[in-house]
Amino acid sequence: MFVTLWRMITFGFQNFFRNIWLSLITVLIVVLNLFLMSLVSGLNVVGQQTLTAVRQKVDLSVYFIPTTSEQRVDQIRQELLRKPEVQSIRLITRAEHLQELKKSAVDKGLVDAAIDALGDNPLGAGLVITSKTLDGYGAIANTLKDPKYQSIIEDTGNNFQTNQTVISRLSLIVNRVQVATLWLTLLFAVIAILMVFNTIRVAIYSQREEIGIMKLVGASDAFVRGPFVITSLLYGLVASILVTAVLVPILSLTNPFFAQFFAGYDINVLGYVREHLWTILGLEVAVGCGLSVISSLFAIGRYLRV
Amino acid sequence: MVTFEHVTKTYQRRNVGLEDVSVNIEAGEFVSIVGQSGSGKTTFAKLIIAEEKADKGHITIGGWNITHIKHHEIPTLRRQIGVVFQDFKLLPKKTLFENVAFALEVAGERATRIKSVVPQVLKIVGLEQKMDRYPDQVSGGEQQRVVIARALVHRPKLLVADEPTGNLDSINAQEIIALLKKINEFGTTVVLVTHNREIVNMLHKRVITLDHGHVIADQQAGKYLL
Ligand SMILES: Nc1ncnc2c1ncn2[C@@H]1O[C@H](COP(=O)(O)OP(=O)(O)OP(=O)(O)O)[C@@H](O)[C@H]1O
Ligand SMILES: [Mg+2]
Repeated sequence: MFVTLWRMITFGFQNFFRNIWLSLITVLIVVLNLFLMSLVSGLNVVGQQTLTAVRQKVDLSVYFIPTTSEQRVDQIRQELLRKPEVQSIRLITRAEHLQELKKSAVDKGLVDAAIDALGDNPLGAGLVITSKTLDGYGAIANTLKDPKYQSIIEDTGNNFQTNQTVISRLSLIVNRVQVATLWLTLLFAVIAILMVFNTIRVAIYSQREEIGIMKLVGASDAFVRGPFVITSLLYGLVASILVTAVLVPILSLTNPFFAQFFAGYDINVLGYVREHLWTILGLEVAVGCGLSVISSLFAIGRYLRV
Repeated sequence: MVTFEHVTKTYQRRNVGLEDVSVNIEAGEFVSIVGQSGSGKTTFAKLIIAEEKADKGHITIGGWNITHIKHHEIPTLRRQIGVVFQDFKLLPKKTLFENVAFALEVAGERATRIKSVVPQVLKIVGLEQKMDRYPDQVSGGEQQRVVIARALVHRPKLLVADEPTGNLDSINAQEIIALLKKINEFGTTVVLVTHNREIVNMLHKRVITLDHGHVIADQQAGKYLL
C-alpha cells in the first residue's frame, strides 16, 4: 500500500519533470490566474471593509436650544435608548459642545471673541446617536420629528442625510464590484482549469504506451490514474505557494498608496495580509490544488479510459 | 486452465469476433491458435485476459469464472496471466531491466523483490548480460525476448502470446518458440496465437484452427491446416 502510494507520487513527479516546459507554463498560467483571483477577491474585501468603516463613522446628532436643561436632554436620551434601532447615544453637554466648536474653528480667537461678546455659552446640549443599522437612522429621525422633541430641537444638524446618500451610492458600487469580481474570479478559474486540463491531456497522450502496458500487466485503475492527479496537485501546490510569495512583497510596495487612500479609516491591507498569512496561504493552496485536481479528473475521465 | 463454453463475441456493427466457441485447455498444455486474418484469434486472446467481454457463453480461467468479471478484479486476473501482445512493445526510454521492472512496479511490488526477480527472468530469456541496454541497442529478437520476460515477472501459470514472432525472421522466430517451449516445460500453460505455418508444423503440439469465428479443427500434435 505504502509502496504503491510512494510510486504513484514518484510517477506524478516524473510527469511534472518529463515535460518540464509545459509544466512551467502551466504553473505560470495557474499563478497568473490565482494572482488575479486573489487581487479581485482582495478588492472585494477592501470594498466591504470600506463600507463597514464608513458606516461606523455615521451618526446622527441633534442639538437642543440652549434653554433646554441637561436633565431634560438626558431624559430624552433615556427615552430614545428604548428604541430598538438605537445602538448608543452619547450626551454632549453645553460645555462640551462649545469645546468642540472651538476645536473645529479655524480662527480660535474669533470664537473666543464672539463668546466674550455674548457673555454666555450660546450653545445647547446635544445627543450623538448611532443606529444598529443604516436604515435605523431614518426611523430615529422620524421619532425626533415628534412635536414634543421638535419644539426644543435647534438643529438636527449635520450631515446625516448626505452621509446616507454617499453610503447608498458606495454600497451600490461595492455590490456591483462584488458581482463583477465574482464573474471575473469564475473566468480566471475556468482559464486555469482549461490550462491544467490540456496539460494533463497531453501527459496522458504522451504516455499512452506506458498506460497500455500498465493495464496489461495488471496495474489497478487507481495506480494508472493516480500519478496524473498527483501531477496536477503539484501544479496547484507550486502555483499557490508562488502566488502567496509574490503577493506579500507586492502589497508591501503598494501599501503606502493604500495607507494614504484609507487615511483616517481602520483599514490596513498589508497588516491584514500579514496577520492572516497562513489563512491566505491555506486558501490559495486549497483553491489552486482544488482547481488543478478538478481539471485533471476531467481530463482523466475523458482521455484515460480504464 | 482455460475453458470456453459456447462463447460468442460480436463487435459493433455485427462484426463477428467469435461464435459459439467451446474449447478446453488443460494446465501444462502448449496450444497454438491458428487461422486466417480476421478469423478471431486475437479476440480469443483478449477474452482470456478480460480485455473484451463475451456476449454469450462462459469463460473460466484457472477455475475462476470470469464471464462477468468485475472491473476492479481485472488487475488480479492479469497478474496471474503473462501477456505478450503485438501492440505492447518495450518502452524506448527505459533499459531492458527497467522495462521488466516496470511490470512489477505498477503492481506494487517491493523494490527489493524487483531487484531479485528481474535478473532472474532476464536470465531465463538469456539477456541478463544486456539488461542495462536500451531497446534500440538490442536486436528485434532480443527485444521480443524481453517482452516475454516482462510477461513472466508474476510467475504466471498461463502465458498468452499473440503473434510473438510477428516481424521476426525465421531464425529469431525459432528462438522465441524455443523459449516458449522452455517456459512450457517449466509448467506454464502456453497459448500461442500465430500465422506461422513453419512453426506450427514443427511444434507437434495441439493446434486449434479458427475460421470466421468458429473452431473448425482441434488436433493434438496437429498441423497448420489452411
Ligand atoms: N474492436 C473491434 N471492433 C470491431 N470489430 C472488430 C474489433 N476487433 C476485431 N474485430 C473484428 O473481429 C474479427 C476478428 O478479429 P481478430 O482481431 O480476432 O482477428 P485475428 O484472427 O486476430 O486477425 P489477424 O490475424 O489479422 O490478427 C474481424 O472480423 C475483425 O474485423
Ligand atoms: Mg490478431
